Amino acid sequence: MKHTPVWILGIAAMAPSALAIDGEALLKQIDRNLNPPAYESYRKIVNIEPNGKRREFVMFTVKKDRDKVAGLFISPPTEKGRSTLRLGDNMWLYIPNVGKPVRITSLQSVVGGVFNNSDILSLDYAAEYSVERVEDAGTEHLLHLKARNNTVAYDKLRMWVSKKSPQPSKIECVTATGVLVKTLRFKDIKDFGGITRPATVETDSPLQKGYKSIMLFANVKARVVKDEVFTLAYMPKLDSLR
Amino acid sequence: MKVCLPSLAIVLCALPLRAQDDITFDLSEIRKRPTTVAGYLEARPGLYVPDRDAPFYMVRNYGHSPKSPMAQVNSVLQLDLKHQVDRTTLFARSNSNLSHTYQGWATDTRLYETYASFRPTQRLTLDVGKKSLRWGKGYAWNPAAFLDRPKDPEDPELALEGVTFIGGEYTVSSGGPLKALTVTPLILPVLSGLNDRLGEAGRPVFAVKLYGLVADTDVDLIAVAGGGRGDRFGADFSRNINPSFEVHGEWGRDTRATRKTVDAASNVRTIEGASESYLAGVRFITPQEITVIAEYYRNGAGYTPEQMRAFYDYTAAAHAEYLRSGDPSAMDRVTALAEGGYGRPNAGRSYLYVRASRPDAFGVMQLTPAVMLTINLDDGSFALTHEATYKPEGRTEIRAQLSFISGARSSDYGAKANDMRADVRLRWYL
Repeated sequence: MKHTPVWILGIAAMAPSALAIDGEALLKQIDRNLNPPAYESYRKIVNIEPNGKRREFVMFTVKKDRDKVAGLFISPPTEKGRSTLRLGDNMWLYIPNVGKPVRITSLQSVVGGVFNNSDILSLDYAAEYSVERVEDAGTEHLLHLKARNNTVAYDKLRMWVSKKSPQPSKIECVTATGVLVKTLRFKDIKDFGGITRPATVETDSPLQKGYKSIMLFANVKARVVKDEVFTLAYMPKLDSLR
Repeated sequence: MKVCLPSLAIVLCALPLRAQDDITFDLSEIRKRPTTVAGYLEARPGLYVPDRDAPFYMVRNYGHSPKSPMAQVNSVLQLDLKHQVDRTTLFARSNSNLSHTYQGWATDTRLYETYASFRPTQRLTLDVGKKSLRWGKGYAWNPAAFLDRPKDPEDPELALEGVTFIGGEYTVSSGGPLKALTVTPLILPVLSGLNDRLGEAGRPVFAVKLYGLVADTDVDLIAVAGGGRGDRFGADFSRNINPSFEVHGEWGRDTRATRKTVDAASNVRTIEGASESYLAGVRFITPQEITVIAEYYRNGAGYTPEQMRAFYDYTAAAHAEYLRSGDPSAMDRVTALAEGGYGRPNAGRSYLYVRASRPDAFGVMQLTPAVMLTINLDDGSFALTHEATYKPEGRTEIRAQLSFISGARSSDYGAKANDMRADVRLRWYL
């Protein structure tokens, strides 16, 4: 290799390292790590009150492509058999007693607590957000994301991503007026047999002081199902996928 | 014993942390069994303040003199049994009711659903048996649900007894503006004791529903024919406008609807003709996280205020005749008319329903207070219900309701049997 002129190295060193980062490509890589193209998983959602009281929910979920997620509640008994479906901006809840899917909105929460429906049935971030800019934050990149349209739950996200491996460590969800709505913290990077991602996501909100919600992942594995699984007709039958 | 306050504060602060430390995800929690039993056991004691001069009090209680307030206890055991092997699912839901009123004990057990479902592919499902359909997009009312039993607008999420049919469901998905398409054809036999409220015995009913997710909007088209009745057509839609706002609508047309009426001269006759009903509704969440459902319902087959008043006058006259002579035949005719239409929930023409609820209210998770208001827009009478639901843990649900009914004597709600109702529903899930 020829010797690179020293002045070129000097300019490269002075340039902000973030300039060299393709934000959109990085975001897609983060998505691929968090959510492989098609997979199934089990999740436990734990809502914790300021007094320490907890409510636990266990879900089976299946995801495909950037914008299809379906979930089925396995416990507790009060919620067992409920299923949820998200197709892009569309969300539905099926309650066995009611016997038909009803539309729900992303800012509601089917489990209460700090996670709302868009957190539980999260899509690829690149499907909902574009990268405005990337900052250097020491050992991490700080991505500033902007919602692609007004149907997305949060107007802006600030995402801290490890420079070593493209996994997020923290995401702040911010409204259009700059108000911090909640913070998501990603922990316990785990290899689920080929899929490496955080096994724990914690969230709290300045709007719900003292409350915390935690999502634990288990049995995350690649699985491809037909698109017809992500339809209203299939919601009462999701249990057949387990 | 002396208590060191700073130490106590540290211990209290540490409690949530300690609680988090023991969170585990045991894989035994996700084990699937081929046969499952679910459902609930419910007890619902309540108090009713009767309106002794109201027409429907006379219909329900003639020949009796209950005390006020009337105490009543209902208990329900609903059992869901499901067996799933490969592509076949067998399902049964029973609902047993045991109630006690001033008239004594009463029991009622029904098989709400019992069906076999075979799924040769993820696109196709074949069903045979008795199943609840729940067509339509409305929350409180469903003018396009021609085959379902009418739901109680005061409790629209209750399970309903199904209908017996042979049918299928075929779904295709695509990446275009039409993201999903599902066709559901059904054949419903009508025999004595089987689907007999849907038509004449020996004349089956044919139904088809076409669902599409078109440009992010749910759209259903419904057609029902046969049973010796007029053809019925329906359509509905639902769409999310933004992350906190949903709109929906529903329309139904019965080409040959029939209903019994009584006129001011006490002549009872059956009116037959086409009727159209529709519903428009919204569901949204406010910045204070209050979920609001509001629906306007136009009941084309409902009674006008004049027709309602004629029925109430007819009832009062029949009751007076019963008190004078002791002959219940006139009240029997009134009861038949009430069961034939006047006594149905929301038998009028024009209604507004509003429900506002706040999950996790007052800093308590799983506590949901709610207020529901149903107004008959033609006469201004209304029912107002306050509700609080709490799920203290994963198997228990407690719901308390307090309802007030208001309206002139000859109005829709003013004619109801009770002025006030208070009850508590305790549910224990299996």
